Amino acid sequence: MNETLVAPPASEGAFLLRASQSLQGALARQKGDPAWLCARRAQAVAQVQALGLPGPRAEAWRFTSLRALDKLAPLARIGGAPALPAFAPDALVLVLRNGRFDAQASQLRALPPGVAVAPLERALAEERPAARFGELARAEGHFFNALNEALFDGGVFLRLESGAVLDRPLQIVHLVDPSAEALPSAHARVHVILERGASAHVLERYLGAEGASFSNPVTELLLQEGARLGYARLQEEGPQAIHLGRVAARLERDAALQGLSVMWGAQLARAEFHVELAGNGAEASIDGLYLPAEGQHHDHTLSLRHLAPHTQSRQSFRGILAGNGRAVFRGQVYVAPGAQKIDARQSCKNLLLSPRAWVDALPQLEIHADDVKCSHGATIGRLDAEALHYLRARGIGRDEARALLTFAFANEILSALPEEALRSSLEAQLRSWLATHGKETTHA
Amino acid sequence: MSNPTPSPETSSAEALVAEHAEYKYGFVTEIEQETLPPGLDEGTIRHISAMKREPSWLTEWRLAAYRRWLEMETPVWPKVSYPPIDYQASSYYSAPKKKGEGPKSLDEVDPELLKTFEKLGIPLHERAALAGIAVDAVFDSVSVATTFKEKLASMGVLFCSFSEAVQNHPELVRRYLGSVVPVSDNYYAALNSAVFTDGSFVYVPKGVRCPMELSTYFRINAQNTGQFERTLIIADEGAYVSYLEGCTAPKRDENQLHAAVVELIALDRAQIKYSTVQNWYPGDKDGKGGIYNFVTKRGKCAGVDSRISWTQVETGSSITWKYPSCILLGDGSVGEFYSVALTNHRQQADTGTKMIHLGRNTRSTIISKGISAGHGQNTYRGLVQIQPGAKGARNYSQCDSLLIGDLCGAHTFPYLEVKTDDAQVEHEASTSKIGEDQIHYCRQRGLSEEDAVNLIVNGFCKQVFKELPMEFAVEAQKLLAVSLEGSVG
Repeated sequence: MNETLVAPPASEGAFLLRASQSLQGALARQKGDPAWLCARRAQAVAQVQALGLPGPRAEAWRFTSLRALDKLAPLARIGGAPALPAFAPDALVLVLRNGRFDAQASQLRALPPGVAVAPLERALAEERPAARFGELARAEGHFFNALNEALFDGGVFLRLESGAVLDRPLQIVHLVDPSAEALPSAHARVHVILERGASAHVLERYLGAEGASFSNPVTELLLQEGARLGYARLQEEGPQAIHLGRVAARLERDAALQGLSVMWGAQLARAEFHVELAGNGAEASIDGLYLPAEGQHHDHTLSLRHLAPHTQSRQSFRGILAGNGRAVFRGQVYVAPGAQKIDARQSCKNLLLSPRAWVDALPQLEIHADDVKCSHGATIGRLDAEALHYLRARGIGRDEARALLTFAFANEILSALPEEALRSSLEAQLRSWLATHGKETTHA
Repeated sequence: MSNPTPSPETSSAEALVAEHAEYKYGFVTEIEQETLPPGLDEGTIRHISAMKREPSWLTEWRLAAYRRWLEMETPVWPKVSYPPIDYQASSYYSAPKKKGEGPKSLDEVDPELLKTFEKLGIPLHERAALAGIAVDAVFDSVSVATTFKEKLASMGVLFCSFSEAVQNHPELVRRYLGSVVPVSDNYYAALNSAVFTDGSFVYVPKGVRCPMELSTYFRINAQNTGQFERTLIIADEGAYVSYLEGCTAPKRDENQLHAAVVELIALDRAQIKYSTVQNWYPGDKDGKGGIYNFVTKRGKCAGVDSRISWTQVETGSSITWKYPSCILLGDGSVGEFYSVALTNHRQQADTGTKMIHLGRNTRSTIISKGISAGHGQNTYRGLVQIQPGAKGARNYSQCDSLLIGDLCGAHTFPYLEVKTDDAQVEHEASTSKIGEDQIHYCRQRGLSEEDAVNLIVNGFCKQVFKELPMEFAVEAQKLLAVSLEGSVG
């Protein structure tokens, strides 16, 4: 590999400079990879160099500034390694520490038949043609996908054979551990294949430390004919973390994806969902909840692409903003020419608890077929004064009334969760968030 | 409409429909024109300015805009595609040749010109007083006649061509020109500021309610010319004015550029209602020819409790790029946008509005109806921005799209930016086709399929049509029916 290829242009910012150094290290390290993966990584490196860090003039990043990336201090070792939460003895847990599979911390006993978990590189050496690795989250033209493809080191591969059922939820816990390296950064890669008729529940949790860190995870989900996946993504990183993650899914005939994204943590977080409804009868539903408080910026960017007829999609998002919290919602529904009989709905509602909070909502429809029913709605506002009055007239105190209404607003998303344990833990988390941030901010 | 049910057997049906769908304003007026040779440089601008005997500040203003324009880039964000425009290939000034001095009254206006406007159904003659509308007609680059001038003048209302306003009311022009749309606002606004030739000027003094609707009719006639008109409307404290605008152009195989700038200023408690029926030549069914309509329209609600209302029916042009906007600066001011945009054949429209809330208790309403047929591509693009100081701001937006045929596209790109909690912003959008049950219901009651579609489309657009003055509403309905012909069955 030619070293000049990875030397950054002199004018680039600190982030790109460090990224280039990491890239050099990665290229030197990849000896064990199969030849095709080496080639892919070299291409990804070239992409990173060619694209450069997206600036505010790039439409996709107009409302989410990446300047914080340059300020990310190397050697920030505040707090040490974050503790793993306690897991029930029979829980299925897969731990990725700074993007690397940690077999010791994982609990993968008694996997049902037809369910396999393997380190990603090894799995790819054997299965690549079937795995469609990198075809869903494409490195071409996407700076952060390319960065991930170049740098991922020890991701995981989860495969359910035809008809296999994972009856307990599988938790994938991502841990950013600043004690492990100079700049805590994680480029986790998770690749999931559900073959025909398989069904599973996967929960990805992103936990972090107090200090500054950068995580850039990519999850690819391939759902073959009739497969069903419940997927939740919880971002609970530390207050100085930067989290830019993507979930890319492809749904074949009659496959169904039930997704959820919840954001609590990080100073700057973006979760992108790219979902292709590629087979007749496929259905995707993505719900979300974001709660940016003082100093936080939460961005959800979604693209649901209806490529086949008779496909359905739903997006339902709620945001509660406190302090000077900022939120961005960009949700696109695309209907390809000839993809008739589409039903696509999207809603995004935002509650502002403070006069300093900002929301940018960009619901988008791009439709190239006529026999469709597509709609979107977005609202931004305060708590309804009449609803507050109604409760207060019935003897409920002001703060309590506000808490009740705010909780109900967010709980519309959580109450739809089928898994009892996850739902009640999220509800508890929501209550504690509201206790800290839900107080009324006085108007200037 | 003479052919209620086009069936596959009647091979002539399509031809009949095609004939009906002809653009009926596509004729050319044979008239002697004074046209500048094609090309654009500082000399062209000085020439235009000199020909119009403009004061030196205006010449300098134009030149500054031109220099700014040279540094700017063509916007690429709209969802439209067209080959690059050669700005040196078109002519920037074209006017009917004057016989000696300009016409003193309507009787002196070239009868060919009057006939043209007659054909277009524009009542230029005072005998058309029944219509009760004062008209300023703009033919290619210059304003040819303004009716009812005296009656309006008696009330202090100034309604004249932009060129006259520059001569007679330079202080007003200088004060407000570029105050809402700065020269550097966008590529086409900068171009317009450099080369604009004429347009309309309206000033309604304090407390005056303009007794009739004011109207401008724009007509592109000459070949290889662009039309760059400039409209400035000022409603002083407590004034009211309703302004209508219509446009047509001949059928030509080349694309022609229309890049207008419209600025509205409403002072305290003033109201401006601006209605447009845009029927520029849309090109033929294969997308050949047609007008590129790249227009910047913006109103400033500068005073408290002022109100600006935009209503537009966009059926023409091969490409439309237009976002009539409101800057809600005055406390309690109101902005409204009602739009019907139709694209058939190969037409492309990227249109919407911007509502910028700056003042307290400002309100805005957006109702947008997009209809796509044939290979038409119709995009709603809008911005609702609530600035931190806009306490108590309120917005409601509704964007509906109707698809007719499976080769067209309908797109919705709203941007909602809210920077205060004390605001309420709601946006709704839907996209669907006409229900088969709806058609079936109408057909059972003896309506042809085409009439059924017209009926349903009219119902779809009703919220917007009811905002139009009556004559315009009737015209708009007819226009929609003609534009949709050939898209059903």
